[in-house]
Amino acid sequence: MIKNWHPMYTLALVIGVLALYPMFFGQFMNFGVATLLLAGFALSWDILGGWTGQNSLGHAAFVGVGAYTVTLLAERGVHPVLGAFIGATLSSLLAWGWGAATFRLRGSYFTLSTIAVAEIIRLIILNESWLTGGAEGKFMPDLPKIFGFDLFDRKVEYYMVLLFVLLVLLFTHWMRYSRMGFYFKAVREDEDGAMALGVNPNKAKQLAFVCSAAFTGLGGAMYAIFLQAFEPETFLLIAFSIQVALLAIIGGRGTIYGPLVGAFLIAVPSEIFRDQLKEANLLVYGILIVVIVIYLPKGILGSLEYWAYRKNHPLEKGKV
Amino acid sequence: MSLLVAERIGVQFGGVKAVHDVSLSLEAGQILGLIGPNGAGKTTLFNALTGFVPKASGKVMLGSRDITNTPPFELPKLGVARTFQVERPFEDLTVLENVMISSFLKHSQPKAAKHHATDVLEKVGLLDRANQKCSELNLARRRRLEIGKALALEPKVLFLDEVIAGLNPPAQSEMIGFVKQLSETGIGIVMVEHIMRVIMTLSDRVICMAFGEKIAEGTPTEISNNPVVIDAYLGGGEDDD
Repeated sequence: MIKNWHPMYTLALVIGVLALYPMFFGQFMNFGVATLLLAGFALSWDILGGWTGQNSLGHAAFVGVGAYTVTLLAERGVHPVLGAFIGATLSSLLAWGWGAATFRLRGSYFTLSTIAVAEIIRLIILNESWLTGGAEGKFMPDLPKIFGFDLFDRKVEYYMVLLFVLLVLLFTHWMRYSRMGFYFKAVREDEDGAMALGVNPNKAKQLAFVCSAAFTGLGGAMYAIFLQAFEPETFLLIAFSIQVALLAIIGGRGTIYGPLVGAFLIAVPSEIFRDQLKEANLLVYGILIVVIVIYLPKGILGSLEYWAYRKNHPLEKGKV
Repeated sequence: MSLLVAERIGVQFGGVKAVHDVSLSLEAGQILGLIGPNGAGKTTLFNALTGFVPKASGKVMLGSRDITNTPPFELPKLGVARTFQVERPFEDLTVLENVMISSFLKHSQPKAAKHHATDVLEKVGLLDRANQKCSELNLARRRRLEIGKALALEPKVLFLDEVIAGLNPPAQSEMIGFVKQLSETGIGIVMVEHIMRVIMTLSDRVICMAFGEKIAEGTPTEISNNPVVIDAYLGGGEDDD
């Protein structure tokens, strides 16, 4: 099509299209913000899951850390923007310690350990009610306006979340062509092989985990502002972690835009069918996942990328 | 001073002594052949020397530096590279990307790494395959890629684990010539190989192992005439391979 297509053009196009959403679907702002947030979580998850191949089923913990941090700090008069960044920092610190303890485990053992750690964090938040409000949850206090924008306005929230998505995408774009991104992929493909080439797998995984957690924590802070009231069950359950991971896997891991595609592709039909099918809505969701996992194991974008690759590199018949 | 000296290396798996008291030394530009029947501990010795398997005893010196307990991912920085007996390309990455990961060791900028990796691919004759995924390479090309990845680390010492066995005769000759060239650039090479013709033409010195121990060491001619070696490997073990 176009010879000198720069990856940044794609990014500008994607963000541009997303930025138009509030103008056309102004009445569905709740859906828009929620879906875009899920996309942001899935994109953040992918930094660890898609690039280094470490499947976490505990990312809900980082959403929780971000959400509770910004709320508890706001109660004490800390500006929400500062609160969100403190939340992201705490998330990444948590990931650092978490990774140091669990990255000696490989493959599914690491995944199991993420479930355990996330459960521990959920129970701590549930039981330390003097700080977290326990099972009753928390209300977001009134927040100061930022440059005259009301943070509880859905459109303002939408663009804030879009900024978050843009931030993650800019990071993955940079990562894709950097040494770090190459090292991540090497670790995903073969840890021993990577070591033989001078890559420290634990360091790489740790770095990916910390970055992934920081972004997830930032998104978690926005989630708290969007919800205004939440309890541990809202997003600390393993179901939420699984959902985030599935969106990324269905969309295509390690493909940059895959998780975004996954989030919209899953969210839109399940929103449409919610009214018509009521409880059966989950059935549609389940069937969609099964179909994609069976027929497109690389995920939607992953399969498209492979198809494009195959087109440019046809298999030689007869000689290999 | 020798490039690499390993003294009395021992490796133990539970109660089994997989490698026992094996010493070796390597000079720059020299090829040291490692032979022995299956299960003699050749690959285990490789893994121990390159840090992939913990050593129960012994000491490894790289020049004046003690690398006995250096983790495997630090060794490439010090100039030690290895290949694996079963090639381990990063299957889902392209040939160029595979080599770039090695090139990043000394060239942290992506552009420089790409440039360097392209040069290496030209050297190992894979430039025309640069943008192909590794999962689609045949055995000979996978071997060359494996060596290319090790070379992109610009090593002083190179461990080659059976890079020739299994190739067809023309590919074998090609690989023999290539390894010879490498040693002429001053790289010290330790190679495990099953094919005696290869070991005899390439090696400056040969070590023969059996049951985890070094049973003989010498020039290729000395080794091929050594009665202990003939008994343990050349005479009796041929049909095992």
